[in-house]
Amino acid sequence: MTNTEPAITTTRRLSAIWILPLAALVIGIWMVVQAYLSAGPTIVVEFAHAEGLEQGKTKVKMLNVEVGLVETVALKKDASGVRAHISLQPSVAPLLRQDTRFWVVRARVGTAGITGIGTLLSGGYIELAPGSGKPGQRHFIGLETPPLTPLGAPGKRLKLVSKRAAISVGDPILYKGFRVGRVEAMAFNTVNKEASYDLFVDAPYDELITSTTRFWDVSGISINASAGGIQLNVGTVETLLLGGVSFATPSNLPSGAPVEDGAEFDLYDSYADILTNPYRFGTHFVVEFGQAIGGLVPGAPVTFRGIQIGSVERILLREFSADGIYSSSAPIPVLIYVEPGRLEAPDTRESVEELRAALQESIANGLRATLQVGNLLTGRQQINFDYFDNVPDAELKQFDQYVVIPSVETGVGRLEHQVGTLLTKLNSLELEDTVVGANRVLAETRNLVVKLNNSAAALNTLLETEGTRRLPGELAAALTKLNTTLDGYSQDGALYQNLRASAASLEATLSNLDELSRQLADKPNSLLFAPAKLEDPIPEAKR
Amino acid sequence: MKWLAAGLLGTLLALAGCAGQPNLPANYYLLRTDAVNRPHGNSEPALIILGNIDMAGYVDQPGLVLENADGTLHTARNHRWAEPVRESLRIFLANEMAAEMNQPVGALRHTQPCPEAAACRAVKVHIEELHGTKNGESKLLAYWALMDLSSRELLAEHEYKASEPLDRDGYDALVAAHTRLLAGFARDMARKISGTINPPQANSGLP
Repeated sequence: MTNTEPAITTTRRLSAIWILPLAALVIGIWMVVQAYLSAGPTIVVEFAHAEGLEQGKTKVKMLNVEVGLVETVALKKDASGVRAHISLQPSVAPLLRQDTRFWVVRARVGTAGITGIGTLLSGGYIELAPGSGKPGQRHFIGLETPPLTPLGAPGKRLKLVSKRAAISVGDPILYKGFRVGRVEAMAFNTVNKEASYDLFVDAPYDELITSTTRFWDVSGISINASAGGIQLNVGTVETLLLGGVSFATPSNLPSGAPVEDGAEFDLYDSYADILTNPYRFGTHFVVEFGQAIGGLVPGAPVTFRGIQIGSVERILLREFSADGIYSSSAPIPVLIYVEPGRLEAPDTRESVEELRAALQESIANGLRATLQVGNLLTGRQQINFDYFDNVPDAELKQFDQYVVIPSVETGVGRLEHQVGTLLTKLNSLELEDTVVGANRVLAETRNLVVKLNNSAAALNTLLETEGTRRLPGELAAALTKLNTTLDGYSQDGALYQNLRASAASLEATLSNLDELSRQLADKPNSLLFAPAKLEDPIPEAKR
Repeated sequence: MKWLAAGLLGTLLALAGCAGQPNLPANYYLLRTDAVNRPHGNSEPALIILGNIDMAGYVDQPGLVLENADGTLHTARNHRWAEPVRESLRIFLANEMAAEMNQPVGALRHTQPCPEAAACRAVKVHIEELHGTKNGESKLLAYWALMDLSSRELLAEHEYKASEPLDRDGYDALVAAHTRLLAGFARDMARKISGTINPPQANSGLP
């Protein structure tokens, strides 16, 4: 019998047909992994608008090498700008750092010239400027204008401050006519009402900048008329048309110390302005005068013993009258500006503080301000500081926010005041009573003279009497007798000789008495019994 | 009667006492020099005045003084100066100085007073020691000063200390030694006064 039963096996085998899909699956996974691993980073860059950006077309370049493509461009949710999603090549990934910058290159016409003409035909593209900050950044804010200075370029970034908008972004920084940098940015501070500019000075010219460097505006034409003629200063054609900033260290200032990045400088209107006011730091004081200040005008010199240390800013009439004291005899406040650099002190804020402290301390030591005539022809006046003895103590006070320096009257003003005081005192004198008294004294004197005349007449009468006339003769006779008497006492006189002999005899007697007294003291009975006469020792010559 | 006898006895005893001790004769000495203050009748006024001589008390007395062997001083009772030593010493020094300086030296009573317009000098002398020593010498220690008589300004001040040996025994030899010693003192003063009043001229260097 034939076994026709089909052999049924329970073992199930994978059909070979599945090999193909499996292989396809593996290949697919490998391709996905490979694609993921080989794909570059995708970043998001925000711009103010999408001018020149087309999704799938706009390229990202670095140094004119294509490194990416704009995938999509979409509006931000708040419609304040656009957001561009960009895929980059993997090799660019290390360049994406915190300070990496992106901007759209398109045709531009500005003070720096016409740029991006090539993009008129080829279309705009996004330029990538690599950074050096923290890596891994994937979200960036694109620049609206191309940066004027590459990141990391050697040089110094400085800040200029000006009271007015004199220059603009892109203006050149010049040193003796050479372009050594540029103005990168500008801003206006509404608080202190100052314009500030960011400058970049390329290396190695940045080493020319020191603490005493001064910047001035070289835009336009400068005309200076003086007794020496008319001087016309014109910069380069570029600065004439577009403006610029020049810098130098004035010859009347020291060379100064090197400055760090971010140092701040003032922008002067012209070089002549620098020569007139070369110092950056100073401080204000108020000087109060009780005398007339006619001839004291803004800009008048303020000197210390003849050395100019500042100038008059203005007379504080508004503040003076605002206090309601203009009708009284209160002193008139004058605002002055004092610069420590004029006294060869460092032109720094520290010197200003030291000057302020020194002046306040010196007030207690007699420092006072005086008003002096600076020019006899024009009557212009100036303020001078000096030390005075015997001045009343001054209290340190403030006028508004300024320290007040007390003043004393000297010169013509003081003379005028003294003459006025003298006249006042003369007027107050009781001259009438004095004259009456003087007349009375003169009358009494006249009576006295009459009495003296009478006395003199009586004396003459006395002298003319016979007895008075005999008096000199009698006096002469008396003197003759006195001379005769004294002659007896002269050295050659007998009386003198007798006296001398008597004195010698008395001296010898006293000597003997002295000896006798010593003898009696030794031997009281020597008056009755003669003492033994001892022989004196004999002097012996040398043997 | 008893009282009369006692009085006679006392008188006899007293006379006997007086007769028992014979009196030794005293010797007197003069301090003199041969130098003359005004030779040849010179009458010009003296510009150097020797004032009073000041001296130690033991010197300013009549007896000559001698140092004993034990160092004490003995004032001789029988050997005395014939006149007050202070007076004779001034005249002695003035004469010796005048002879050395060849100009009169005033000694108060014996010269004219100093002219008013002249620059007169006064010499003041102090004798600190003058006696014979136990070593057979005469010893002198003196101080003297020169003054301007009008201004009373002290011009010079000196000390003089010297000794002179006795050439033989006896008080006459001591007086002779004193005399030589004082003469040397006077000459020394004269030379120094001349040097002070007329200092030697410095060489001007001119031929």
